Amino acid sequence: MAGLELLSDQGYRVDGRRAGELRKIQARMGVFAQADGSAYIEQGNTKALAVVYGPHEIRGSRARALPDRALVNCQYSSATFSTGERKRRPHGDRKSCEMGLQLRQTFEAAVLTQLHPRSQIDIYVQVLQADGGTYAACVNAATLAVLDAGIPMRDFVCACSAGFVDGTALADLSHVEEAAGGPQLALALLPSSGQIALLEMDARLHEDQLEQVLETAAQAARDVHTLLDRVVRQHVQEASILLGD
Amino acid sequence: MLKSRTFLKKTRAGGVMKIVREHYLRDDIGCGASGCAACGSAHEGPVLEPQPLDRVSSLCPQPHYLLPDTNVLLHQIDVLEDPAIRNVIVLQTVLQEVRNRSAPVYKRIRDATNNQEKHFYTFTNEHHRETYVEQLQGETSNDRNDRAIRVAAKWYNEHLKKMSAENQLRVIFITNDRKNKEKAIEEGIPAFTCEEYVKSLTANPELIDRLACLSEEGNEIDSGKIIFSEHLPLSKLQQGIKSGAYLQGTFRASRENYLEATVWVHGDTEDNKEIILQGLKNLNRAIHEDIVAVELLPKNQWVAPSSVVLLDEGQNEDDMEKEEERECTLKTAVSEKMLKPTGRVVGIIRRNWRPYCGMLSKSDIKESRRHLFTPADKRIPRIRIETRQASTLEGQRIIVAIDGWPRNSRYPNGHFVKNLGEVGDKETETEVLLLEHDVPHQPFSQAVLSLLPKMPWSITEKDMKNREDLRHLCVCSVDPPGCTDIDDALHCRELENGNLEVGVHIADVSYFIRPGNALDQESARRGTTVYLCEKRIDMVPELLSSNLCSLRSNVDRLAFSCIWEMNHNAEILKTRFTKSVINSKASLTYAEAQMRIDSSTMNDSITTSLRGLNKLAKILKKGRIENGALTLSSPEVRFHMDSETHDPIDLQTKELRETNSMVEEFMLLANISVAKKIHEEFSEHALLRKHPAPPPSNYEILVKAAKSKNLEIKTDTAKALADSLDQADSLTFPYLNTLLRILATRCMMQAVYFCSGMDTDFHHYGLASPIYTHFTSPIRRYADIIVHRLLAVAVGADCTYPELTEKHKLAELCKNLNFRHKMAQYAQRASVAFHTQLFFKSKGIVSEEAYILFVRKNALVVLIPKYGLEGTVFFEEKDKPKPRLTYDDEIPSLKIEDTVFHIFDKVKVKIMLDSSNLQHQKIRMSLVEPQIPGISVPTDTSNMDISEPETKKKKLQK
Amino acid sequence: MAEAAAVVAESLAGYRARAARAVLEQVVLPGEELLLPGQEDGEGPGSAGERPLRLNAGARSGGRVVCGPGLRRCGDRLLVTKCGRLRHKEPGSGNGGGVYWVDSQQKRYVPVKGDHVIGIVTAKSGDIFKVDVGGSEPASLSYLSFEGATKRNRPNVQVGDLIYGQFVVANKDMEPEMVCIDSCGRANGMGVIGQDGLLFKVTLGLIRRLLAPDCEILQEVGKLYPLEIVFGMNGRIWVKAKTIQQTLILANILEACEHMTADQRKQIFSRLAES
Repeated sequence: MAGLELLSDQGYRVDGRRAGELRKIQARMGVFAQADGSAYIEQGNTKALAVVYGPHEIRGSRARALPDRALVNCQYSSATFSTGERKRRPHGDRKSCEMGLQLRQTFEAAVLTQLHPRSQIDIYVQVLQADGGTYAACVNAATLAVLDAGIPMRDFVCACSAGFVDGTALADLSHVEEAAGGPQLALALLPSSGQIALLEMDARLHEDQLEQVLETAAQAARDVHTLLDRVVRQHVQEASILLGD
Repeated sequence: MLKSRTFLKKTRAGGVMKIVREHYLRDDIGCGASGCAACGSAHEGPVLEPQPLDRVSSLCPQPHYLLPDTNVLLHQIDVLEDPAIRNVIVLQTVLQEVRNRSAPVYKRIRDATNNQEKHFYTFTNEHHRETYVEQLQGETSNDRNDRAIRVAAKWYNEHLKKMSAENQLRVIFITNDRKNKEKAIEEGIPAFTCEEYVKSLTANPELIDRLACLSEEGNEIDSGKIIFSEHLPLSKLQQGIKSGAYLQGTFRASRENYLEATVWVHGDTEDNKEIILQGLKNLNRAIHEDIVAVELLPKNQWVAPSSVVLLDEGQNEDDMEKEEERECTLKTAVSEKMLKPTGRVVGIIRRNWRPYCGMLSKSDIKESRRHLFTPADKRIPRIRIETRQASTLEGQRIIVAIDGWPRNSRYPNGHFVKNLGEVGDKETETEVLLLEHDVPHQPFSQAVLSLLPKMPWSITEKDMKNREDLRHLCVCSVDPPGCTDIDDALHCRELENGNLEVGVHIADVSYFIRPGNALDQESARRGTTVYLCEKRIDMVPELLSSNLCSLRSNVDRLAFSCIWEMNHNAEILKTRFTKSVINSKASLTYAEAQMRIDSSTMNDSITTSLRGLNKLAKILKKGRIENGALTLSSPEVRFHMDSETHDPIDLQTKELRETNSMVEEFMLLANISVAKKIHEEFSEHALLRKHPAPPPSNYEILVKAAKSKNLEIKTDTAKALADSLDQADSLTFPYLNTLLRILATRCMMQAVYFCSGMDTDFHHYGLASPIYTHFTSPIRRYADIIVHRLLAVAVGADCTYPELTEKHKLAELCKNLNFRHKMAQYAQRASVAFHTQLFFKSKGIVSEEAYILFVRKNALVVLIPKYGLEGTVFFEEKDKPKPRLTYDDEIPSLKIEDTVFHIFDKVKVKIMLDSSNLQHQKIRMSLVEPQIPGISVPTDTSNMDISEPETKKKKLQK
Repeated sequence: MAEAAAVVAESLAGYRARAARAVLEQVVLPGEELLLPGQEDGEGPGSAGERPLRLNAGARSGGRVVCGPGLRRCGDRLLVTKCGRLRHKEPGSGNGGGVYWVDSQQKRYVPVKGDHVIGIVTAKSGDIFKVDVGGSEPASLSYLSFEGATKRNRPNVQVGDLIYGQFVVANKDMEPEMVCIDSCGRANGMGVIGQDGLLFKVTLGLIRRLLAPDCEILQEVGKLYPLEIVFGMNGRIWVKAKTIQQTLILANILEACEHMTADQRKQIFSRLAES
């Protein structure tokens, strides 16, 4: 019984997309009233919720406070019902800790932490349904949440995953494509300046192909930026209408 | 537009998992018909011809495209591959099903789609908005797929109508499923079965023969009684294997006995179990190389492997009683310990059928269209085919593919594919040989040839930049006469510091064959150049092998050089590798080189170079032998061909001169140096060659044979073996040493390629070297090209590419190369055997001296040194009374009537060709001396007729 | 509310830099760059093909432009760091390019010097009180910063009291300090807020809108019931009316004003006025 063909001869993937096309993205900001900032994003079947609190005073030990900038604290949690088989531990396991660390790295690069020394910004991300590209969805959701909270940022952070099959780079991998075992790359980009906030891959990829995959991921991240841009503008317009302008 | 597909899947642990997948529907998938304005913006270009008029069908006179369904694609692939069938739409639904059910057919469809001439278009109907079909409640997936195909066919018809008003293009749906066809006609789609359609193509009647005959499910029970038990379905088999009731293994039919076979069980442990199957009912329609599930029979039904030879010769197809009679003869009373586990086939897990070469055995009934086909490979049963061309096909070699084996049929059903030519004709037989050994021998495709450099080609400035210019060196090459693919050249000169500089220059093939392109893939597929007696199947196109890569004399050529600095005692002081440009000063044969070395008058630079090389080679060889390298000999024979008819004139054994050994030594040295270097650089990804040491049991026959002549052979280490072989001499019997060496060759294991990251044992037993690889013949071996690439990266002369450093891909490649190497060897041997037959056919009956190599229970295996020919002399024959045979295992010896034969005894035998069986012509040997009344044949052969088989014939097999 | 910054002339390569004037009153997002007046001449490599609109047609070049919240200077351009609408205020007098800022919706308060806020006393330690103002750190309030407070005459402030004060020191590097007297030493409405009443939190944008001079909401609310109300710039509002029910009604109305349009508001007020 042959495995799934990830890229057909005519250039179509398992779900009918072409190599560089993204899945359907829908996002909303301001979903929670009680948090400072919140956002919800759906990338295909991957659904992620991000909530931001801050900048507020350091919880826990005062010793952790940084004198010149804010402490960014990220926690990643994936719901027990998010994958095909029920997960035992929603958070605290190694993958979640690693994701939290990666998110922190990403957002420390984008948020202007110098403006809030000795304070703490909390970003909590919860994945409700995981169908591939969870890191990217988390980053995108967290960006929107941080914008919603009004924390000053250098630029958007847009992320997308990319893979490599049969000599072609694929953008925005779904779970099927990730499980097939090829190399996968996650890229978080600041679109206006083109700077990379985070680039992560733990597979083997030949250096000649790295360029191609990176370019595909960057282009996909820019496409995500266009979408998020539209969402934010719409949200701000609605909010300002209600404010009575 | 986004749809979601949800389905439930069973996990390996037994749980149920729900899978939800997205399914996007697109607007931009084109229909593929050229001239369709609506689909102009589609991604794929148009493929189907606008006016497919070449097919004139009586059923559908307008120009039309074909749309086959899954079963048609699976079973009638031969019809579809025929060049007469063009402009076919293959739906994605159909293609996916084919992929899941049969990988070989899938590959063939893909090849057909890539072939521009065929105009096959793959329509991605699952993602097209208008042709996507969701599974309804209660609908099975098969029904859903059928519905999807019908919807797509309907859409096509409507869409093509829209193309232009007067356009009459239609799409015809081809299916063999009656229900599907009815439903399609109801919906207004023109539909026909494959048979109807093919028969309607009045312009191409030969297509009808290529139709596979499929038995409809209903007729099975009626016609004829059921002979075989049912095959269990796959799910039951898997359950049974898991629970241990059944065993999974590869079915290997016996060459001698068509009623017997063994199944090699795939086991986790090292020793694979072998299970014997006897009797047609127990074989249950399994064919050689199938993966089957067997059930062990209870111990009281176990049998021993029979030593009888049985061939299937009956004409009457469904006569089962005669078969059962023969089966009883197999069951001979044997002792307990000879019994082996016996079983029967309960189901087939995977079929591994391929097209088979062979001959038609015409049916006795004159008007019958059903005939039996006898394959050349004795392990495959005879196949029943239906053809009208029986009279033309008689006496020809044909290719037949199997379609199926219903329960009520004695033989499997198949269909005719191709006619190769007349049997016995050299071209045809060579073709059969190559096909049966799976040697790719088609001419190189356009895609491959387009990658060759354009002539006139010369070395450019850019090429010179990264290479050392060694054109001033006095390089020469030494090769067999008539050799056009010169891989290697040597040079040797004195340096100022008194040391010698020796260089081995190998053709730089990896410059012309870049990784990944069609040329590279084709060479990897071929794996090696195959040298048949009168032909050579090249691994790389001739332009490269005989011209641009070949290191011909007096032209500049690109090379990869391995240069050593050694002292006069052949100790290596420095090694370096570099890409270079050389200009060979002379292309010598072994004889010419030897002449120069021995000549007292010639003293030019080439000759001095050769003398230096020769001296060093001798020292190197001595060193190797001290380390335990083995020098074994095999009776290599070369045919002298008549230049016009290409018939063999004479056989000659190869002579080994000093120069052969000289070139060999340096090639070995280069291979070892390169192996060390690439292993150092790529400890996980080096392609090396190893020769495992044989287990002591392999040597038993050698030790016994030597003991019978009162000589001792030590086999604990390679050195001990080499030494004892050197000392095993007999003054009265000078040929004994050669014979012992020949026997030793038979005990050896096969040397194989392997990837250094996947194995720990690198030792090459035969050369007594801790590490070895193949570097010196990239023109005729693909492994050498890979080693060149690795070495180039190691010295910084080239960049890597992904597949080079992936050890699993490399291991796969090694597996393929080992397979091709083995097949090439078998093909070469078969070619030699065929030419030997031709030779003896023309020569008549010959009587020659021979030595006994092996003693068997009912036969003697002898070697004729003059021709290097090995054959068997049998003493049991069906028409004659059996002589008294006493076999002693220990000595070993065979006593026939009153004469005792030991191993290495000298005898005289008569050789002649037996052409009674056209497909398997054999060399027959019969004993002349020592004279045994009633057994031996008289020496006088003057009044013998060649064509008629002699009365006192022994049945034998080669 | 002014974060004064001198604009330094340095050019940075970036794309999509737009003239600030062209984007006024429009939604801007972080990552966008804005060109200032005086940038269109002598444009370096960078925004090729951009609309070089003049910021001020009146050629008032060379003035100092103040960059307010939501904007950062980066080189000679302004980098947007928050999402919202870009606003501009002409300078009242003198030269200067005016103030640009981004009006964004926020819930979390960041202390700014001069803001009047409502804080909750969380601790008394020695001479100072720790007051939680909803920022990243509690502010410190010296007991001497009340009207008429001396070393001997300490103010009557307990833990848990509500304080209305203003920031004298509020920057990112230091702990915020607030006082309950103005520069002349008078309370001016600041100090401990009385008993009863209800403290609730709204977004900062709503506070700003309510405190805008032309806000009708406040007037309408005032017409409903007699009430006392204190607005803190940190998003906290303290309300007290005659009965608890009225207090709650007022609190709910003010919270709901965030999401209602003007018509809905008028409807609600008219209904309340009737009952």
